[in-house]
Amino acid sequence: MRDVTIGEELTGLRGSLPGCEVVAFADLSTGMVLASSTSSRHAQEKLDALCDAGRDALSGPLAQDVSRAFGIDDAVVFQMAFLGDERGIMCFVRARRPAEEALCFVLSPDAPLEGLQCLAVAMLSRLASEA
Amino acid sequence: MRDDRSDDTARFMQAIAAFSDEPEPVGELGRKIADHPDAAVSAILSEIDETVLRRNLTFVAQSGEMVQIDVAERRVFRVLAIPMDWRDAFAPLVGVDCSGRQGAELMQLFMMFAETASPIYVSADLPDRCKTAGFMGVTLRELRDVYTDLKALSGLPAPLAIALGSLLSHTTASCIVSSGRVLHTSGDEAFQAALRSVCQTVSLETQAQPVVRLWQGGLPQDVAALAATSGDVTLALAVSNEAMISAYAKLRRAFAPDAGAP
Repeated sequence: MRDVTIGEELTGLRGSLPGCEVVAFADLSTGMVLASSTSSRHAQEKLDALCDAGRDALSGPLAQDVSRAFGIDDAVVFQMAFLGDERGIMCFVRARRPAEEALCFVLSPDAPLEGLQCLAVAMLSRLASEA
Repeated sequence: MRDDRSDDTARFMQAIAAFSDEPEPVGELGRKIADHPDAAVSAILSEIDETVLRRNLTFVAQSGEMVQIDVAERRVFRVLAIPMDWRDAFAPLVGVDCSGRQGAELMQLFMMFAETASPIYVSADLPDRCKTAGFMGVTLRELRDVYTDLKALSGLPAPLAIALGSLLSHTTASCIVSSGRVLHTSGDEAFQAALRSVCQTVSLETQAQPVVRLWQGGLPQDVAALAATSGDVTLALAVSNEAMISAYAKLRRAFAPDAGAP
């Protein structure tokens, strides 16, 4: 039996999340998208922009201000971040440190979010153990 | 206890004094309790305050719309009926046993009814099943505490105030700022200072449309931080990890109502 590719794993993950349009596996330290699964064709530039949005949401200036407000000086603290408006929701879940990978999601405005974090964390753990 | 005895004495004296008042007229819709919205909420709470034995209280507007609640021992146990058009907004509240957790939603129902239904009349009936009242329900004190909090939101657009009101009772701490002025803070005092700072920072982010954010992982007491800005209103919350997804969904409905609900 052939091994499942990362792309196929991401497609399986996207299929298990109602309303999920994009799942990207990215390296936050380099800003590179390593693999992705999308419901429709997406230019690489859009996937790169999604990765940049994830870096900003998890550890950018606003995230750092928020963590400092709570008395946390560590610049990289958040494991998950959401950014939602009327057009949809972007969700970012990072792997356990010191790993720098993360899963970036684009979901429709009415997509349910329950279970997303558990599935994402499980996949990141699996990908890390296979690396 | 001393406080209970003095409360009971005050109620007893009020009841005695009421005998010498002019009798209140009772019409087809019941006894009129308020002519204006400003007095209506207090009147509704007074009716609950005066209901010790189990009763169904029916509050009716001139237009015929009504809210019916099951009350005993000065506590609200169930919402039995609400206007049909409000079913979507208050569906989780109708027909279920209430506890303190429903205090904010219950108070919002009363405030909305008071706003739209003056004058208001009340009638009281024996419930169909006169079972012994339980120990749950929403107490009058809980309702009055929530009313105080919700009045602080009165400067906000009504749909936003109503949505935020139901959210605030399930947070560890909250802060709402409007036009640079702190409208409301609540909860853990250590988090209130952090959330005021978050409000200040988030309000500087310029966005074409309302944005709702969440950050989770590594914060004290395992809370998640949420923030949203719409126009000149900025809100920041600290919620438990268990409550963060439902809080985020409610916040999106409050700040981006056209985005649809999960």
